[in-house]
Amino acid sequence: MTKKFAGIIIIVLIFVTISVSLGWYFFRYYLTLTWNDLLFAWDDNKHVELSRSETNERYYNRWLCFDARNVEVSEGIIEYGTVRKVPLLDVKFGSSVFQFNVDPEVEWNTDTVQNRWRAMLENQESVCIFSVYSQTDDDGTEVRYIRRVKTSTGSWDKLDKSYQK
Amino acid sequence: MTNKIHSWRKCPLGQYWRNSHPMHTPSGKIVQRRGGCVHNPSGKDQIYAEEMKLISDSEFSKLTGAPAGKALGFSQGNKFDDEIRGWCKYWNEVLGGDNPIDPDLVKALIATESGFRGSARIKDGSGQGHATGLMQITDATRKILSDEGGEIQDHLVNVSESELKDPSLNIATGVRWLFHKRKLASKRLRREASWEETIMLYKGYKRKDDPQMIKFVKTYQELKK
Repeated sequence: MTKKFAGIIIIVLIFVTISVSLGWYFFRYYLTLTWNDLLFAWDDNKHVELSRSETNERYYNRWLCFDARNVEVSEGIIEYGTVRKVPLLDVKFGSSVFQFNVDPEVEWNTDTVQNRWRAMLENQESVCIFSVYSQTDDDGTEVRYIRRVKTSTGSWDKLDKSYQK
Repeated sequence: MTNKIHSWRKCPLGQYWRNSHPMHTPSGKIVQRRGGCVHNPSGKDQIYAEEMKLISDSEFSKLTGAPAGKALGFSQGNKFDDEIRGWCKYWNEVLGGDNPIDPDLVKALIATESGFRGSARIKDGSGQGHATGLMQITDATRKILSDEGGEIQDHLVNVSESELKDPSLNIATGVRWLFHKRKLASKRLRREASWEETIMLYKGYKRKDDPQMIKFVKTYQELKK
């Protein structure tokens, strides 16, 4: 009886250790977020009744956090009124690929945004991005639009006009 | 779709329209980015250039009424009547209340601001920025109209410097600005300002007998004959 009980305890301990380790492995990057960031997300979503007229789907901003080494600052060229460069964040996480875009309606100082993002990512363990889902491309890339980027060095918000022309 | 700010808008209050558009990715592929209704983080009504163009193209040609079809001696004097009519109707219905703006007033303003030259771009009064297009919208005005945290309480207009060269976008922005100027004039006067007083504030004239203000009044009266 005692041996059986000890065996159960050991199995439970192993299970808990694995769970905590896995949890730490996947979610440790979320420790970058503070209570204010969580409140910000809660408040943002409280006011959203996002829907697409065609599909009646709802899309909410949420925080996604990653190993900063898996995040690449890049750029694309959009045709939106004019043809222009826009900053992008490309992220690989396991088998998932994300592309974080900025609002196309705004004329961005792309170089300035990219420089800011690079400075924020430098020597950082994790980065968190508050964004809304838009679509999934044919190659499986999940496309999202950025509201805010955060590392332990600071944050970047799309509403900051100093990054716009 | 219900609870829109105006029947011409594509999205409900609190959202704005984004067109579908192509993007060239870093890997060299061309992908299509979805359009649709997008949440305004500020919660304020916002309109962007793409939706303004959609409204202009689909709604304005059906409208009738002022401004008067008089060219006022300008080769392009009647060229923007549809846009003047349409944007005055839009902003009157969103903001106009009991005292709507007269499209002839806007046409007279355009005549005296730019002579109907959409590409007009000159240094503004302060000498630090530029005034662009038919209604000579300044850089400062453009920024105020798009600033979610600024003096404009609601119904923001978002256009870039280059977009202001588009006549329709310029007129939409200018008429919205006139409504804001009227609000400021009313506050200053501590009573409801007339549109003529608003024009004085728009143009930066301190007196009704300023020669340029007299010229504007005569142009307006010509349209009303």
